[in-house]
Amino acid sequence: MSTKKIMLKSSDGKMFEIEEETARQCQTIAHMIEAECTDNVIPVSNVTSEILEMVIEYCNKHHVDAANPCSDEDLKKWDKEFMEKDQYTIFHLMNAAYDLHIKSLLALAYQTVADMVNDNKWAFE
Amino acid sequence: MEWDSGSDLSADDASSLADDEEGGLFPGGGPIPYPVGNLLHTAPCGFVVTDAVEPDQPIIYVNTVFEMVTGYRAEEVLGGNCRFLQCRGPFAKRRHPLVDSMVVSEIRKCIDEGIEFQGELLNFRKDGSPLMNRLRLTPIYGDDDTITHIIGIQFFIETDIDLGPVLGSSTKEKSIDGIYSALAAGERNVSRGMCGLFQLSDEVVSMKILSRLTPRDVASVSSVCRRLYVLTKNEDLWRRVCQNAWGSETTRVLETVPGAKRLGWGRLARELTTLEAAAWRKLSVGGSVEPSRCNFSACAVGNRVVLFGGEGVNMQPMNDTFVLDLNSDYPEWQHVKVSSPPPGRWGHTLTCVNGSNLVVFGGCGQQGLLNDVFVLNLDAKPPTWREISGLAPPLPRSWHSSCTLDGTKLIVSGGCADSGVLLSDTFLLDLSIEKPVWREIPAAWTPPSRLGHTLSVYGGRKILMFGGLAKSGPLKFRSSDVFTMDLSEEEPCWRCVTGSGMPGAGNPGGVAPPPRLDHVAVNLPGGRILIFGGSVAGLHSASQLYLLDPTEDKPTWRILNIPGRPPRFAWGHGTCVVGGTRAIVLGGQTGEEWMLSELHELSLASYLT
Repeated sequence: MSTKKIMLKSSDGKMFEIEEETARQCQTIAHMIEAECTDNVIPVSNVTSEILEMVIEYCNKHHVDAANPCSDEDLKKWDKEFMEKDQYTIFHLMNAAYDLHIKSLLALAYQTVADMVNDNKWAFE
Repeated sequence: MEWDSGSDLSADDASSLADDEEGGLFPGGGPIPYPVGNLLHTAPCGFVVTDAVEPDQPIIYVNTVFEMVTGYRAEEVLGGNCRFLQCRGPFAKRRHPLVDSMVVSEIRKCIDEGIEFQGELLNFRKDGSPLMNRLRLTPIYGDDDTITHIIGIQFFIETDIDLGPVLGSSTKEKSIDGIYSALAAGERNVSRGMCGLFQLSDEVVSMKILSRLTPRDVASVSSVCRRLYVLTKNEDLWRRVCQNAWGSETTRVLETVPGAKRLGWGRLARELTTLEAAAWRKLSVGGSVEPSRCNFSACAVGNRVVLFGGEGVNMQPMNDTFVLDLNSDYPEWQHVKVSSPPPGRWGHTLTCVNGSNLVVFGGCGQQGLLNDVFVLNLDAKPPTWREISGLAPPLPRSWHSSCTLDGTKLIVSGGCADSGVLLSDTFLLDLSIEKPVWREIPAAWTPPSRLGHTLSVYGGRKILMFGGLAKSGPLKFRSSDVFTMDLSEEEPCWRCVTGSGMPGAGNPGGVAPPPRLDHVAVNLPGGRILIFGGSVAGLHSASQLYLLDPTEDKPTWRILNIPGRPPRFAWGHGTCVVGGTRAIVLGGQTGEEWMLSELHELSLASYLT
């Protein structure tokens, strides 16, 4: 198991360390790693540090292996708690998931918004 | 053209000769009537081939016209996906907001389904200028029926959309964004007081958000504003909403109903949710079921009603098969000659599995009660009954209840064993495997043993039991109890949902249907159950409809009043549901004589009128 680390740089210039294997959940980053154009620092120029931190938190939780075991049920519960955020954050997370191509996070964000409509939490102001 | 009379003359000659010839072939002497010239010259067509086997379908060939018109060289685009044409210029990272996302999703859908796409899509040259692309995508199938290549033929048409200046190589092209709509251009800050949902592009709102809502919620959302109203008028969206809410099996069945397409998914969702179009009507059919009989079993296969066996004259157990094709303009009963039929019987069940297969189980035959299983593929030529020697079968029985789980598994519950003993067991037979084995579903507690009850499947793998003649101490009473069991659980157990309660006591489950047996239970898309008919004590009308939604927190019975003349009688063993929307009631005229040329139909949607 490789524990190679790479760095992600947010739009406001903050650096975040993440394991390469974990970062591969982001299709966009996986492609860059495969194309060997990473240079160990990947600029994520349209995601702010605040949002990138959450994205990394999500990727770390969802990178399930022997070192980081988590049942599907627990993961679902965690996702639910993770998404207990305001509209502003959810839409930015959705945007980041779209840019970085994180299918599961994107689906989670879509579902969260759909649930908000369903539960009438939404204010169509 | 005197300066070159010689060549002029020869040219004239040539052209007049050509005219003569053309005049002969095509009266009027006009140009060749097919636009070969147009095709090749005035409207150059781009030609692109992609490899459909590789991930993301990379381009493996583009022709020179493509290069000339788009300004991209072959070496720049080979190996990548075609969607870069939707980005304005080589530096844009995402689809331009003016590109119609509905067309893009239509393309994706066609590619996924392996069918041809034709339509117009806004594209951009390398220099950022817009081009309308009249596009035709044709999948090419390999030997093993998989798509190996997709060929794209592109007629480029100039378009004069004012797009403003190209933003150049800056990576901060905020106006070009796939997830956000044009409305939000440059303003991705959702906290500015505008609802975030409205800043998403049409495609994302429709296919990613609205498609996850229930039919009722989509209907509510459509009345919020004009944009959402327009978005909810999309058939693809409604199809997805229906599929999510009802399950793909139900939508597949609905698709087979003639006229469902004409009605559209949006309308169908509304009608099956509100039941506003439900109505009773009478239906006359030709042919006859001879010899006359009662206590047969009826079942729907597609839009056909199949009738098997029954109790003939002098209690003769029958083993013949009749089919009534409701797709036909003049439906009539037809006797189907099926080889190696099961022993004659009545009080059995007939259930549809695996599309067009029918399963007969149990019943009362010449030699007493049965527990054998026979399968008939109605579409096989010639149709043949085949006995399934399922190991460890349940006790022989009659007037039991059955249903189909996952489209392939037969579930049998209760019934009457030898010397009138009522049963309370539940068995499952998986008919999708080579050698099916009966398996009893063990439950710590079972509802009181009974016969003449109904089993319905809802919410995927949950079953609901209603009514029947149930054992109560030393006595037997008609029941109006509802029990459910979730077979997706590791250790399924029966749960009591609502009961008839003590006489005179208030019932939290609302106005429950009067207790009954051999009634009809119709599954509605989304999990609701409709109950009517059967043998009811006292002065209660058997034709009153009762509706229960077992998915509610506290399921409550509701009475459903619908127009039309209901049958006087409706029996569970003589009723079947066709296409998920039509309950066909056989022999509803009288209690005794079975008149099978006069049917009653309870139709739940309006497209059949």
